[in-house]
Amino acid sequence: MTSLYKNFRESIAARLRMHFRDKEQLEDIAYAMVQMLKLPLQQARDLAREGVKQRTRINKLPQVKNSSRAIAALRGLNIPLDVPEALRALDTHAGSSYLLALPFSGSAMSLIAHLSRDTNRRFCIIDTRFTRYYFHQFLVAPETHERVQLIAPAAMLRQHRAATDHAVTYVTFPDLESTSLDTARRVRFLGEDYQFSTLEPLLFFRGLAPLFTFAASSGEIKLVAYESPKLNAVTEADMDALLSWLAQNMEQVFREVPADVLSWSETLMLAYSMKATTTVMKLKMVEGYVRAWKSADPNFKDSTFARSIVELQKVQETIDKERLAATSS
Amino acid sequence: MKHRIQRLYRSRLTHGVMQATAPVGSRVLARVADAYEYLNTDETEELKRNFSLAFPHFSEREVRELILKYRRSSFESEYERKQLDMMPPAQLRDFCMKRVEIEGVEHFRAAVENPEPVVLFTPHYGSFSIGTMRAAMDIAPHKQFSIFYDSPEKNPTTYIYKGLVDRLDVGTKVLYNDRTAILAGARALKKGGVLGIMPDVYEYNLGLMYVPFFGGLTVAMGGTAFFALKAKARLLPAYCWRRRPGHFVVRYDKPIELSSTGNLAEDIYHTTVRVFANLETQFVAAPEHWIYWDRFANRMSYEFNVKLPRGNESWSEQFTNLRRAVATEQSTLGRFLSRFENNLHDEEALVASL
Repeated sequence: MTSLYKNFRESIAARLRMHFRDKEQLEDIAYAMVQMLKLPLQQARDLAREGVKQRTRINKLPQVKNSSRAIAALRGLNIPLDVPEALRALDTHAGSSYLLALPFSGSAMSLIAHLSRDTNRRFCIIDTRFTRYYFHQFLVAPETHERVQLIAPAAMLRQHRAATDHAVTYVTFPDLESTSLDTARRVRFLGEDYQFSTLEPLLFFRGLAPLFTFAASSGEIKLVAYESPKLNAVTEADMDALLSWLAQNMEQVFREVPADVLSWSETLMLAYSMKATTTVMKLKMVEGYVRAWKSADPNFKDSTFARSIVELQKVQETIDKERLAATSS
Repeated sequence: MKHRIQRLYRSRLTHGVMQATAPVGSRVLARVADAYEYLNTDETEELKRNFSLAFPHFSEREVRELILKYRRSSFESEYERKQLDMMPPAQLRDFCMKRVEIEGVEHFRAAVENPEPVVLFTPHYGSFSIGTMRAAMDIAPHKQFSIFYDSPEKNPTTYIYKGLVDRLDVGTKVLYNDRTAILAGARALKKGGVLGIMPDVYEYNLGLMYVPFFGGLTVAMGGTAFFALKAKARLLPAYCWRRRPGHFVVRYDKPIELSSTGNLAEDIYHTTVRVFANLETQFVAAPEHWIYWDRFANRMSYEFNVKLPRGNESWSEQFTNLRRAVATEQSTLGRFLSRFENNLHDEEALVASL
């Protein structure tokens, strides 16, 4: 009797947790849409609600006890991607490795579930806290656990260089990849400066071609490949061209099929991080001018100078701390 | 088969062919560089803009000539890199010893023959890879030489250097610019070694700063100054460029004087200002060899169109222009800067009334 009561209580608690988590996620997504698509709050909420059913289903899948059934459920999702067409396009590369750089979405999850049916194919998926949760079933399901692995960006670059007998599908999610300035390029995305990792161009220009992503129009998603006249190029202009192409296509998906996108909050957080670093750099430049002013003007009081520098540096530290806290939460 | 090709790639035969065809190759390369100039109009426009910003007194013709020189120099640098990559170890050592002249040898000797640690810096300038190889050979009998660069995972163009350092085989240590960099650099200097750094690159961190450069402010990392100050090391500038095809010069300048206010943050700033003043002197004397002219404007403060304070001028009015250029009045940053400016004015007024 006690056990029954305990199970009942735990079940209610779990349902409540899930309910509040979904509700919180809905509000986060609506807020991200307001910020990124510049929509009024009510319209953003309506748009966020459109994807609730699908998101709730996807959110629950990692906790399902039967992994195979969870992966099958992903294949059965109602998504805006033309799956047969996408599979046909990828089938022409059945014997070789390629790169899927996709917006983190229901369509991406479902496509990977479909592709995982090919037992000769291995999968290297980028390791982030999101993919760790959402791809959990692929890591434990008997039919996929030996063929799917999550790996960090540096390991992905190394692994790609090492020779392998198997065809590998490398999967990255540019909208989830947090990165430092030295491994990132500034690219316009949804009207703002956004940091894109150089991982995808590095993989592509080191021979991991073709590179596919999603493009969207009229509410439908299709798979498109990057076409570059040159391979093995490593100039910054080549990297920027590829990332701009990627950003434009991903932007279409965010605008055209917002309900399918799962990464709204994470992408907003990364955009916030970019804004924070830009603000810190501006403050550093103001500090540079104040220092030059002090060197030029003999009447600039030492105490005023010292106080000004302390104040400017304190603000820089505060913004950077908040940025770090936001990106590591 | 793969090993055979690899052996052929770095064989004496390939090296001999490269050397024999070098004079012709060099001329062909110059023509290709000139042609590239006309083909790549976007990049040429960017260079024109950047050179005009750095050298506002240059005529259009002078800027055009500089672009051509720059293009030839960068093509030659790339060609040299490939040449170095193809050299077997013995030829590599021979090349670095016989083809490179040293200037300012007294500064070099004073640095390596002294027990104090040395921070040796050079920008991405001219034939810096050849200069680094030669420095490694000259330093080896006296001190341990450690050089910083990005891992190939971070920057794919650096993969070549690890191979070069290994083939040179004079005990040079490679340190990657990662989380362990500070500790590794400090360790190298603690033992009285030489640490090689390239100060003209940057990545975001709180230690970044803006220092005067070409009439504006440039973003700079404080790492070079930090290591020199922490280890009380000699801070030695070096530059390497080609004097004529196949012949190079490495010039060591007088050591940079370290700032010594006792406040580490201020000392890092002032020492970094001196490092960049040294770079600027060299870049003005022979600008074509600095490889980062193509992205010069990105690192500078020119976009805000606010002139640096000069002479005895009070700069209050210019600060208002700066504040308006940096942020809108309504933004959080704009509001902060308004308050910041008011405080500056209040204190200025208080000083005047006293």
